[in-house]
This record gives sequence, C-alpha cells and structure tokens, in this order.
Amino acid sequence: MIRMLKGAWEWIEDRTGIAEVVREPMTHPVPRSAKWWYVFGSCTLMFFMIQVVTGICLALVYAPSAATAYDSLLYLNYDVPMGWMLRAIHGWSSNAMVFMMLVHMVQVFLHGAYKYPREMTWIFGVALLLTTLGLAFTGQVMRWDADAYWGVGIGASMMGRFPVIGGWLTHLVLGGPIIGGDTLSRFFTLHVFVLPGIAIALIGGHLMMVLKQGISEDPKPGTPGAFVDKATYKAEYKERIRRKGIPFFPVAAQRDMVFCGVMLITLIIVAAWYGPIGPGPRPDPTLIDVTPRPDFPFLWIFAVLALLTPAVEDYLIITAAPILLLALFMVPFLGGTGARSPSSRPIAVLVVILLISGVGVLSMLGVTSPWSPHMQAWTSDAVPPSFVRSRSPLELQGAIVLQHSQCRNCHALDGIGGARGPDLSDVALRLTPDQLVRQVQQGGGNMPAFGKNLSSSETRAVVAFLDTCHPPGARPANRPGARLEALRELDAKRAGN
Amino acid sequence: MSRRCMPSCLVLALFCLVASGCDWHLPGKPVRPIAEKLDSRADFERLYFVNCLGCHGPDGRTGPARPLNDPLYLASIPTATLEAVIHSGHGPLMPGFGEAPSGGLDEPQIAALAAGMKHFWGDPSIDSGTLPPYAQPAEADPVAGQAVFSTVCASCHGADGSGLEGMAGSVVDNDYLLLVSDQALRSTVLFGRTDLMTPKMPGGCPGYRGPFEGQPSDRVLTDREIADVTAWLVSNRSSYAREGAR
Repeated sequence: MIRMLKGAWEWIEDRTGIAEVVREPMTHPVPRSAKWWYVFGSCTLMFFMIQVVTGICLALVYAPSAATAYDSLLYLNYDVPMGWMLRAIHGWSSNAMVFMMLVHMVQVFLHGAYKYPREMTWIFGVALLLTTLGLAFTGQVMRWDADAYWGVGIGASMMGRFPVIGGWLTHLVLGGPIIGGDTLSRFFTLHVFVLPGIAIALIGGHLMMVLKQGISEDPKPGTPGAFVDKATYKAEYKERIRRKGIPFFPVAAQRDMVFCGVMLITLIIVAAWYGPIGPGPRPDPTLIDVTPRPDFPFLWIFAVLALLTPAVEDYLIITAAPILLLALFMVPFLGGTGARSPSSRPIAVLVVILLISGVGVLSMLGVTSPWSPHMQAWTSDAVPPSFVRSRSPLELQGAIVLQHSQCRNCHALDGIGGARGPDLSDVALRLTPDQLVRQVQQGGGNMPAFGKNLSSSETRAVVAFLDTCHPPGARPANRPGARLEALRELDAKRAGN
Repeated sequence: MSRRCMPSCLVLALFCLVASGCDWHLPGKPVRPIAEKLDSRADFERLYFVNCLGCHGPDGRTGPARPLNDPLYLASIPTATLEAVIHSGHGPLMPGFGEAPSGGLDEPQIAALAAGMKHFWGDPSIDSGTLPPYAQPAEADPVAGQAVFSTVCASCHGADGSGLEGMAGSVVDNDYLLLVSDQALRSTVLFGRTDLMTPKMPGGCPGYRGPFEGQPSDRVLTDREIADVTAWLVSNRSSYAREGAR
C-alpha cells in the first residue's frame, strides 16, 4: 500500500516537478538574525487563509440579495450547526488580519526594511493594505444591517462630493441613485470575487519580492546590514546570506508556526467567547434611534468625518485620501537609504508614535461618538429631581417642553443626556433670558432653530425653566439692569447696617 | 520536526473537538430572542424607563410632569382612559406613544404599562367610588371657584393665584395655562403635587384632601368645590391666545 502511494507520488513528481518547485522558495536562505520581529507577515497570511476558507463556507449559506441577506445571517446564527462559530471566526479573523497587517507594517517601517532594494515589497504591501481595508469595508456591508446601510450611505455621499464625476461615482458604487438591491450585489461581487482575487495576486507579488530581494536583517546598529548604501548593499547582503543564511523552512519558519498557532488558538477562543459580530438592527432608514458605527478599522475615519468643520469637508475628503495614499507609497523613495535601526531614526519613531496615538484617540472617540445625539434621551433620561423641586408651574411645563422637544438628546442636565451640545445645568450663568429666547428660536452654533416648532408659550416656558438652571446661590448671567439691582441691594444692606 | 509539532497539533485537535462538542455551552453562541413577555415588574420598569421616565420622573415621582406613582390618581383614572392617553397623547405636551412614527409602543406594551402602573404603584384597597369623579362635570361656577381658591390655596399661591415669592409659583400665568389641559388642571386640584416637597412646604402641594394651611385639618374639598376651582383656573386662560398659540 505504502509502496503504491510512494510510486504514485514519484510518478507525479517525475512528470510535474512540483516538489522541486515548492522546495526552492520554501528553503530559501534567510538571515540568521530574523527572529521574533519577523513573524507578523506570516500571521497576516494565515488570517487571510482563514478568511478564504471560512468565507467559502459562509458563501454556501449566505443569500446575497437585499431581501434575504439579513435573514440568512440569522439562519446561520441560530439554525446552522456551528454556523455562528463560522461567522464569529470570519468576523474576528478579519479584524485580526487588519490588525496584524498594521503591526507588520509598523515593524517594517521601524526597522527600515522597506529601504533599498525592497521598495517594491513595500509597494505591494501598501496595495495589500488597501485591498484588505476594501475587503473589511465590503465585508461589513455583507451584514446588511443598520451599520452596513449607513456605512454605505456615508461612503456613497463621500463619492458624491467629487466634482463633475461625483454623481457617476455614486451611481457606480450603489448600482443606482439610492441604496437598493443592486448595491448589495455589487458589494458581494467585490467582496467574494474581485478583492480576494486582487489580494491573492498581490500576495503572490509580495512573496515574489520577498524571495527576490530577501528578508532584511535585524538592524542592530553596528552590525552589517544596518546601514543601506546603494553601491554595496546588494552584493554584501548576498554574500552574507550565502555564508551565514539559514533555510526558511524548516528552521526559520518554526517561530512563524509557533506564533501562528498561538494566534489561531486565541482567535478561536475570542470567537467562541464573543460570538459573531452583528448583525445589528435591520437596515431600515425610518428607524432613527440606531447608532450606526463602522467596524474598528474605520472608526477613526468616522471620528474625523464627524469632527470636521463643514467648511473644509469637501476639500479634505477629496484630497486627504489621495495625499495619504501617495505618502504611504512614497515612503521608500523619501528615505530609501541610510541607517535602518529605529534608534538612529528618531523622526520615523516620532511619526509612528504620532500616528498610533492619533488613530487610537480618534478610534476611541469613534466608539463613544459624543457628537451623536442620544435618540432615547428625551423619554429615558429623567429631569434630575433637584431641577424639579421649587420650580413654578410654568417652569415645570418648561422642563416638559425641554424633554418633549428632544433637547435632551443633545444637551445634558447634571451630566445626563446627549453630549453634542453644552450641558444645560448652568446655562443661566451663561445666557440671559433674552439670549435664551434667541438661541432657542433661531438656533446657531450647530444647534437647529426651534422657532417654528415651539409655540410662544412653549418658548417662554422652556426659557423660564432654563433661567432657573444655575448652581444654588450663583448670580445668573448679566442682564440689563442687573448691575443697578446689585448696587441697590448693596445700598439697602449698608443702610440696614 | 514532526515529533516537535505533535503536542501542539494534539492540543489544537482536542480544542476543536471540545469546541464542536460544546456548541451549546459556549458563551459566544447567539441566543434567538424570544417574544417579549410583559408580566413581570422588570418588564414594566423597562417600558417605563425607556418611554416615560424623562418627564414623569424616576420611579414615577418628582418629574416635571404629573406623578404617576400616586395611588389616589391611579385609582381615579379609568384604565381605558390611561391607555388612551398613552396611545394618543393628551394636551399640548403629552405625546402619543402608540402613534410615534417609528419605534412606538404597540397595544400589548401600552396595556402592560397601564396595568403595571395600577398593579405596582396603585393601592387596590382604594375604592374609586369613594373618590371624586375623574372627569370635570359640565356645570361649574368659576366665581365660586375663585372664592374657594382664595381661602384654601392662597397661603401658597396668593389670593389671586399669581404666586407668592419663595412659596409656590403662579397658576394663572397664561403661558402655563396654555400648556396644560383642563383635565391636567383638574387632576392637580384633585391630587396635588405631593412629591414636590420644599422646606417651606414639607407636604408638597396638597390634593383635595388637604391639609390646607390656615384651614381646619379635616377640611376636604367637595366635588362641587373641586369643579368650581378647576373652572376658575380654566377661565383664566385667554381664549384669544389659546387660538393663536398653535
């Protein structure tokens, strides 16, 4: 039996030479100093392979039409044995892939591994990053829940801002002027055919470059290979590898395998513990009390878009992405030679620290999104009792108007309520009653005008209530005659003494 | 090499086995949401917390709007009326939650809210037959009502109802009257705002049973007096402004 199998294998090897083809790249020599810093790329590839396998399994059940997509996810979650686990692994592995890719990229950047002669490796990598982000975004759309619906809506309206071709681009993305059945088909096609195809091609290119130019050595200052000089680097690297290199498989690959194994087990534990991601609420544009939020790779963009001043939105949305992309692609051409160690490149380290902290802070803001109104606050956040006691009947009605007009969705009382507008607990210290009337009626400073929605009685009531909103004993905002009143009070006190 | 890989492979295989065998035990497994049961206190409180708390106050008291956690009030208002108010709203400010454009309450939820209020906050020992009628009778005398007001309510609201500094505010302010319904005025005359206690008014605003400051402690408003005081309060509302208000 074994002899027969061996014979068959020998026949296949003889006719195809497959083992020889595989052995060559698998055993290619790599520097001895490539140790634990060099495992992140393999791990990203592992997550991609998990994505392919679980993605194919999911596609067996998923029904890519606007009417059935959501229900097919529920079917996977509740009815298919371990279907939820499949969804969980696919979802968490996608997050892990993006994360691991970013870690890999930071390592490559900090170690100067992108420098001469490995510029093309970096460029393939950046293209892979873009493709992966495209996969993450289109994958989020596959959930076809409220997050997906609004995510696509925001993406499409960003496209629409481009001059001249905006309308055409929106049409291209959505498959029509609005989000509809064709939209999901387009994103499905991108997610399962186009982008994975591109990714596989780019991975091929990336690995080809790795084989052609080799893996850079650990850039410990003072060691050979820590300084890139175009005239000598290539030949010296070749010579060092020839003399001291170790085969990638099975020697250097051991670390990759251990790391990948640990990451795989972690992934399974996370998937089993936290379960599948979504689907969130159904994609219904009439449901306004959802708080759509993109997946983690896009949270920082979500925060940037929310915090931009409207005046610069158009220019920034159109120009920022191309400039950022260009900058990423240009990295190896801006500093393609010289020292590689991070300890000799303070600016590179600073750039990484700034980027990580910036994106981190923006992502955290994206999670809490204080600029989003709390759509339930008007009925579910109580007027604190201290704001109710000792108020006149009119002021109490004003508090009801405040709730009824949904002011609390953006404004807090005693820190409870929306955070989009200022807390109203001490608004009487800042605005006089006349200013309050003007602010309520005409809005301004990002607040809508309520003049048309409120009767004059309602306005007077809410202003009467707001005028009581100040710390006990504090003097309300300066108002006409206030100074005179204060002087008279002082005089009266003196006369009393 | 293969020997060194063996232990980790075994661990992984074991883990996969355990994972697939314990499908129903894993914490991440989604649970199909079951249809809402609406019979527990927790269900009632959840409905109240999401929909009513904003105006009617935490635990049904000390909100700007009428306290609902008030056994007398709950004994007085018929369940059908309570459900109708939740469904369709009432007066200028109480919104209809059954008619909300989205995410509104359905019939079972409204019924659960009304029943929950009566069950958890009401007092079944109060016989609604012994209480003054919930609705305002057609015939009432505002002039007589003013006289009653100026004796029993004047110590806090002033003889003319325009409020006393440091005590209670005006109840004849036209803007106030335009924002409350006749029934809301009657309910306040009937049941007061006993939840709005201040150092000077430790019992809050009393209902028809008193005690009224400066009056005998057993002074109780009669059905007739309640109707008259309500009629007088309503008569202070400027009809011109009422039509022009909305």
